[in-house]
Amino acid sequence: MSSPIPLTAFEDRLLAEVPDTDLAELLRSRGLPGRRTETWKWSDLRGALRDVREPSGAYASKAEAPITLEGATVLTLKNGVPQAPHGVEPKPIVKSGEKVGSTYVVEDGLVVSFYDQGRDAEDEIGAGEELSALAALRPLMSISVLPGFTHKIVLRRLSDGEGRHGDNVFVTVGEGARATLVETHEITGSPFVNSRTELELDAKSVCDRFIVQTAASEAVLVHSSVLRLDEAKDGETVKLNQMTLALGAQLARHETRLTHLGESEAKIDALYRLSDSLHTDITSHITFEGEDGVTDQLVKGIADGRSRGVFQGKFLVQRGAQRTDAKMAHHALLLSKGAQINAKPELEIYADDVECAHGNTAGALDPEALFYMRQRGVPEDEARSLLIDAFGGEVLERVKDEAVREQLAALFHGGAS
Amino acid sequence: MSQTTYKEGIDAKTVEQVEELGTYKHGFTTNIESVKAPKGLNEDTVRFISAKKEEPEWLLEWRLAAFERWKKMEEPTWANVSYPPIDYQDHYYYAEPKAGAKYESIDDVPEEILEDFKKLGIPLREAEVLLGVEGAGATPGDARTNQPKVAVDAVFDSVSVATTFKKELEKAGVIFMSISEAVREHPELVKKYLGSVVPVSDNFFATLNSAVFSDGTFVYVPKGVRCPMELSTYFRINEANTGQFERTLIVADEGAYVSYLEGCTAPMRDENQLHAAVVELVALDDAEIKYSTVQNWYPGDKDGKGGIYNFVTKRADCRGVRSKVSWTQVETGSAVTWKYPSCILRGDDSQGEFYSIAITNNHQQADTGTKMVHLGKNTRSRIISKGISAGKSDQTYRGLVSIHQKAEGARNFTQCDSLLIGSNCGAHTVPYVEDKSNTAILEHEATTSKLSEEQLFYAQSRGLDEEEAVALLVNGFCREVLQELPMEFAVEAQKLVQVSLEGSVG
Repeated sequence: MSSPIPLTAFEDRLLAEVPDTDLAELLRSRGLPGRRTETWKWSDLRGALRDVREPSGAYASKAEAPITLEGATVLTLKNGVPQAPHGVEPKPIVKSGEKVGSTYVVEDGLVVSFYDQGRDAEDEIGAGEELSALAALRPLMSISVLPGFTHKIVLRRLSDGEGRHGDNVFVTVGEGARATLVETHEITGSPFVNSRTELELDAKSVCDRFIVQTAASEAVLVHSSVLRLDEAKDGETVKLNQMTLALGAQLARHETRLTHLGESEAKIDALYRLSDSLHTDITSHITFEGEDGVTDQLVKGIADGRSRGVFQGKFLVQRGAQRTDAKMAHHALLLSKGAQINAKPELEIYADDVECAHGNTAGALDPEALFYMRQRGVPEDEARSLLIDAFGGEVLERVKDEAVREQLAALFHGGAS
Repeated sequence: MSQTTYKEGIDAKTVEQVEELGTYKHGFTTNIESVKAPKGLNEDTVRFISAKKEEPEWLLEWRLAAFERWKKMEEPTWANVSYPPIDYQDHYYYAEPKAGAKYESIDDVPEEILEDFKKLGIPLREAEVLLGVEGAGATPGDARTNQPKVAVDAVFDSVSVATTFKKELEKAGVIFMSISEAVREHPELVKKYLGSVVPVSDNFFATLNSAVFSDGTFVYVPKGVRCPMELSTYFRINEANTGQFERTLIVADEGAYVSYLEGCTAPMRDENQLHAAVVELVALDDAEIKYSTVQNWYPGDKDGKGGIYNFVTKRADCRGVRSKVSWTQVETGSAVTWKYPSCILRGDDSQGEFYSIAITNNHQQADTGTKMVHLGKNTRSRIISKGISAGKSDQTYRGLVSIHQKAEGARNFTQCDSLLIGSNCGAHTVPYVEDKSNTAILEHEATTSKLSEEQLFYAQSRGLDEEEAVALLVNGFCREVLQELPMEFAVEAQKLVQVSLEGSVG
């Protein structure tokens, strides 16, 4: 590659904390990903993080959960620090005579563990994956739904201040288990948050995952998700239904890297709504490693004011991943002059017996529909609002859980501010 | 035997035919003496080329400036292609057939060259055209013959050897000549437009071309003139180790129309040959340019040895209001293709179109697509790309649709379909969409699939053999693009689709 670039003071600072590995080498030669990084060209993280940020202090704000789930176990991270579950005694995790963490049996079949250390995610270091690898170095929080159990979990990530923090969460859903996992990003102030969720779905498991990020106009957020879906067993496939609702930040990136190891089904939907000068980047990279993987992806977005919406989707069908069935769609509305949408729906296919398709559209609200409604006496604001709700509704309708769907719809509607 | 694994339903005969593939029917070499520049590339090479072509000082300066820039540039690596590093000092940058380029009439053209043209068949159909030349000389507008009217400017290695139909074109006021001639005869036009669409420092390969371009075609269609015939240039790389760097410049003045056909072949050789062309199109108010390419350069043998590196920069500037440029390409050749014919839609209500069929087989690699840059109001663009991958080849559609803030009411439709034949090839789609206008409408769709076994079965049950059935289906798959080709090309392109896929099918 080309010669190393001069690093910013913040990059120097970060490097001082990174062990001397390939990741450090990559950061040293290229800096943080930004405009010049192919996979980040529309989300200039480097540019957004020029100033040195100190590690965040203790979380001092109060936040009301944007979404609740009846009967769920609520787990909380405050400025990246996992909070011990209420009313459960920790047991030490001992390795070679040394305590390396604590474990909590929260409920029957639900185990949460905190480890003092993360890991060197060597396998994940490529250009553009630095943030995910950086987060993997952080102390690990592990959540396990044991085989055969059904659990609902709300994982709240609360952030404030103007420093920087991150987290490293590992979720496993055991064989035949069912999990509903809601992850929130509730950010006040202007921190830089680098989150990571690794999610493993074992054979025959089902997981409904919701990621909800409320608006945070001054914050910088990167949330990387690394997902692995096991192959089918006894004729039963793993099913993942993921839905992201993102309401923007100074810069926000929600990145999903998913691997279909074999026959499995995934929905990787997202809905974003942006106003003012907010930014949101929905990036997904779906790899079909084995045969018979199915992904159905619907992403929709609305950009108002001077906001910028980014969608990057990629399907990688590896050699031999026959009978892959993959659909990707991204549709965006631009509501004002000055708003922008950038999209890159990508296919990389090395197997011939596959059905892969993507569609991408961008445009304004349908003037004819608006005209029709106004003709019927609906005021323009209301008509626009109705059309926008209908536009987003197509994604929301795919959420099966009614209570969750209604809360998401309300958040989406409220995102109009 | 074959390492290739095919799906069920593909019989051993097909696999055998795959093995046999790599016979390239244009792989002959004509032995005519040629004058070459010394091997390698330095300032002297640039001066040599310029002197050889008796160029004016300004053009030499232009070339030298480009060469200075090029020395500081890095070869691009972002495309999804891989090839061993190119030693730019190991190429000849100029070769001309020694017989010279001063043919007054077709009779003066050496027999070998004529023979060569005869062997080519696609897309020139030289016999008819050359017959046509004689007829045209005597009775211009000889419309009653069945011969298609195509004016040909042939580029044989680096020098244009024959220009036909010149008189009739002159009558219409159309300038159609080699770019070297144009530099001498119409310096003001060349100076005005050369490099105005693809600037000297545009990209690594275009800059290299600017420094060492050998010859090419110049077309100027004056105001309000509808060019009376299809214009055609025939490119062919003959000399071993010769890079071919042609430069094409087409200007359609206000209200003018021209349709231009470009066909390319090259002889079979073991080593890779470099081809870095630049094509610039300028369409002024209400002008229309239709540019069609059938590219059938030598793709290398079945093991991926040899073949042309085709690194081409093609760009159109729709400068005028209501101007229109349409690119149509059938890409079946070259070992490596790196090519993105683009349109800058500057004029209000201007239109750009890109229709492409790309077929890769054996070890071919193609990274091709288009850029549609919408600057003017109510600009429209349409992209239809059909990619067919077979053998061990890899193919990428890479495209950009960019709508600037001032491009109110802009409209784009993009469709990219890929077809995979066999389990060892790859088909990729990398579209970039950038929309900064809230009144634009953009639509993009892409699919990747294989040939339908049901359709194949149906066609075979009607008596077609497997190969014919596949050709029929692939032609159906490409239909939307084939129908955009001028009549003269359409039939041959269909045949070419069939030939390119010979034996690779399933």
